[in-house]
Amino acid sequence: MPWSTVGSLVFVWWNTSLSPPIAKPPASDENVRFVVEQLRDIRLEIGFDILALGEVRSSDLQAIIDGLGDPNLRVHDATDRSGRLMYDTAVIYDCSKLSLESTHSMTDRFGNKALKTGEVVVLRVAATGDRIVMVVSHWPGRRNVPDCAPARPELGSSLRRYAERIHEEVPNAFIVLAGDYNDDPFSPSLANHMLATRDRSLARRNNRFLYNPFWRKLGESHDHNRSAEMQGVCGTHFYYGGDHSQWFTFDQIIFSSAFLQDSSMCLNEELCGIVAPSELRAKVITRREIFDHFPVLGTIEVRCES
Amino acid sequence: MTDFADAFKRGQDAAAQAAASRAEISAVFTEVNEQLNVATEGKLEIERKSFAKPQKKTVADLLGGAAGLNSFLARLEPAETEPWVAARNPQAADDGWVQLAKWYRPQEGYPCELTYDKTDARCHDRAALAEALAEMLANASIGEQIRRLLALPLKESKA
Repeated sequence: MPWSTVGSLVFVWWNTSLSPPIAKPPASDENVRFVVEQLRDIRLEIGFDILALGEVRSSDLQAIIDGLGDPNLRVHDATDRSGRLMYDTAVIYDCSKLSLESTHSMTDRFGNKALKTGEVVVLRVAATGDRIVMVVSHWPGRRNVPDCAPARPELGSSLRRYAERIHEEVPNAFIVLAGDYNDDPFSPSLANHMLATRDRSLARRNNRFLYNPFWRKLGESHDHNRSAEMQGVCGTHFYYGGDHSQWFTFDQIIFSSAFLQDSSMCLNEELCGIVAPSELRAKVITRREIFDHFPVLGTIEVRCES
Repeated sequence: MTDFADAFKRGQDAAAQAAASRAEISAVFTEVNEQLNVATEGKLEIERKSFAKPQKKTVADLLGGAAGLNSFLARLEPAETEPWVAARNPQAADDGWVQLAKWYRPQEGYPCELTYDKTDARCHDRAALAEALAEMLANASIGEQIRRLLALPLKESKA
């Protein structure tokens, strides 16, 4: 079918590091201001339509919205620090392009322990009437749930099963998974249990698979050359004390098969990647700073039949 | 050579494990009911029940005039059902079951899922299910539904 592009939808996920889901006082004004400035730049330069945030609390969101100063932006504040399980994610979206249909949170429970699987946000695209189901996740860190713990694959299976259930009703459903999984694209939880594959043609052929463009963001961004290396990144998260690498690609945006098909919304992989402005990079690789994640970007083209 | 004997043994072990898990899940619901029975003096029961799945709108629905055709088709095809955790007041004149949370339990028993209000809880063992059911009962919107059930007019006594 011939399509003509009528616009795009830009997704950004960022674990801001401002308010981790642990009992801790709010971040300093200076750090909140820094996050606001970074987001303002991203909004100006890239023009996100859906901004999913991790490690935020309501006051951070208020500062971000005030700082962005855009009347088209709406917030779904899914944060909650009142219970034993603290929620730290939120979604800001452009209401001139999208409307919010519903939200709910998913948890996986093992004995008395509950783990956050994701926050589901269902959005309607104004231009085409299509529905996007977005699941924003901030999975537990490896200190709480080690990378070999059986709970991690269960979180991946849980999201795959959720996607399968949606596909039972709508085989070409547009599903976007975004977040800080505290797992790399090759981790069993994502690669084998969520079925977030590196193989585009497999994902296109079989909607049981999801396509994870962040497989392509695993290594050094720049070739070996000392001056270029100074600007490059080697993942989305930097941890000075990493055993085998200081860099991890924990932040990812993953797409359902429908975005690879001949359909009204199509993945634009040229505009998928890690957003690493130099001021943020400098902070991320500095131990005394709170920041340790880069934002990641995913873009889809919105098309109409021509 | 494929080890069919081993596969058979593993299948039987899995079947025994699945039966034990399903029995364990039923035991949790029995425990919930025992406690609710005491707390409400027999006015509240919680059970897993099947309800007809909501019908998707078809072109015929939109055309309006084809309503007769739709009801004819509905009589031919049995409604698809889906499991829910439901509640009722067995002492009320209207003692019908009311949906509280969507329920999913695989053949293996775990992980089973409860979906209600803005919560989707996937439970991987007995303690997790008990905790999730307790949280469901403590939820404000579920609480309101139960309150309505408890306030229903009682059946007239035959005496």
